[in-house]
Amino acid sequence: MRLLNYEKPTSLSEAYELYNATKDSVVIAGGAYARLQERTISLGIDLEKLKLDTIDITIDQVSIGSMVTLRVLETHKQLNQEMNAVFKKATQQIGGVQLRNIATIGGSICGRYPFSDIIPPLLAMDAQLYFFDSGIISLEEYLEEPFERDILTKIVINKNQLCSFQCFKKTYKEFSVLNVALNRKGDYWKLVVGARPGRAMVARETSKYLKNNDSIDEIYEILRNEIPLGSNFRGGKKFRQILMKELFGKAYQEVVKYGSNT
Amino acid sequence: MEVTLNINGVNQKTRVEPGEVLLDTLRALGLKSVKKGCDTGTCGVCTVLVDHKIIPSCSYFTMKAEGKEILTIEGIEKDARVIGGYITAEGADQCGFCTPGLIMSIYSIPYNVKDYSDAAIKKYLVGNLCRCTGYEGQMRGVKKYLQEVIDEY
Repeated sequence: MRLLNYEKPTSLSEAYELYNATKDSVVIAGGAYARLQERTISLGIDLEKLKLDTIDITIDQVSIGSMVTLRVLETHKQLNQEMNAVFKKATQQIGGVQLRNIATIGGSICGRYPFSDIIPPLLAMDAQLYFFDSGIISLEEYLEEPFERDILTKIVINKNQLCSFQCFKKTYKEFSVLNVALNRKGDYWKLVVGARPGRAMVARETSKYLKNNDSIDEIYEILRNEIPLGSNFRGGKKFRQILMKELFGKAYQEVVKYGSNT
Repeated sequence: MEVTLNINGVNQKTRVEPGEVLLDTLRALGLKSVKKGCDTGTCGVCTVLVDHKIIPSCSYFTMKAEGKEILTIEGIEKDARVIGGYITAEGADQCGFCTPGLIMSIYSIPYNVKDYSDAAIKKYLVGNLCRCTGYEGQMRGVKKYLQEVIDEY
């Protein structure tokens, strides 16, 4: 990406104003993917001076600043102890350590990457996004809505959820051919399938069935009919169908195991 | 844009393009150990340390490095010679193009990896690709370095 100007605003309101005053501007979080785009942008607005890189854990919630890097999510002890290491599992195979030291959770969400490993578990756990101007919106709603010029400040997730993340990659650090996140909170289940290769989808029907059914084969039949899979250079549709069954089965076993531990 | 960068402990004033990446800035300043490989943050040959963390300098805006400590292999010459010695002793250094980036990652292992198991080392070094070898020699070299130099110390 060719940038004509670079600013590091020191307040959120300043960042927001800059972003909206300059129509042809982009927000820069870690910048890892920003530079791969082949276009000329008049202004890059870097959020690094806004102190959005902290993780706060309370009794019932986890609040993650949008500038927290994937490497911090991977290695944060308390966060991973309290959340069945789901953040570690969903980040540890995204590129090398180098990339994870710069790529941020906010950038991963706002990029809306269909191959994302971190979006499915966040969707499954009903993550709430806090935007500077438009306030709180669920990640699920955000992904459906058209792009708006606002600044993501933090991501909030309820604790006491049992979320499993499963993915298949051809090499350790490549993008997933398919990924699955399954979450359980009491009687409430939520299943998400990502890298289909289209963007992550919530399997609503299947999630409903999970409450009263524990026959993997029966549930998979519903899942297979509910979630469309496709082909791309990473894998064919048939391969993805086999993967979806395997990964869903693994995720289910893991969530059941988490449930019996608590 | 004018920017002051702390490179290998020395403050340097330089002019950069707003969207310039650290890799290009460092090379323009004569630090030719920093290589350009894939240029997409995947191969690790451009690895440098910024505030003690390994980063892919090809994917990191120079403007972000302002006010931070940048470390390249030129700044750790003594350690680099020791690590390089372990790599070459195993015959693992062939074309040598990936070695500076790999050495920067190895140099940072003691600060980032808790146990020196094969699995932990591999997970940490997975972002450094080598197209000549099969990584076996590098692994032997890294393990010997960690055992003989880091653990002893």
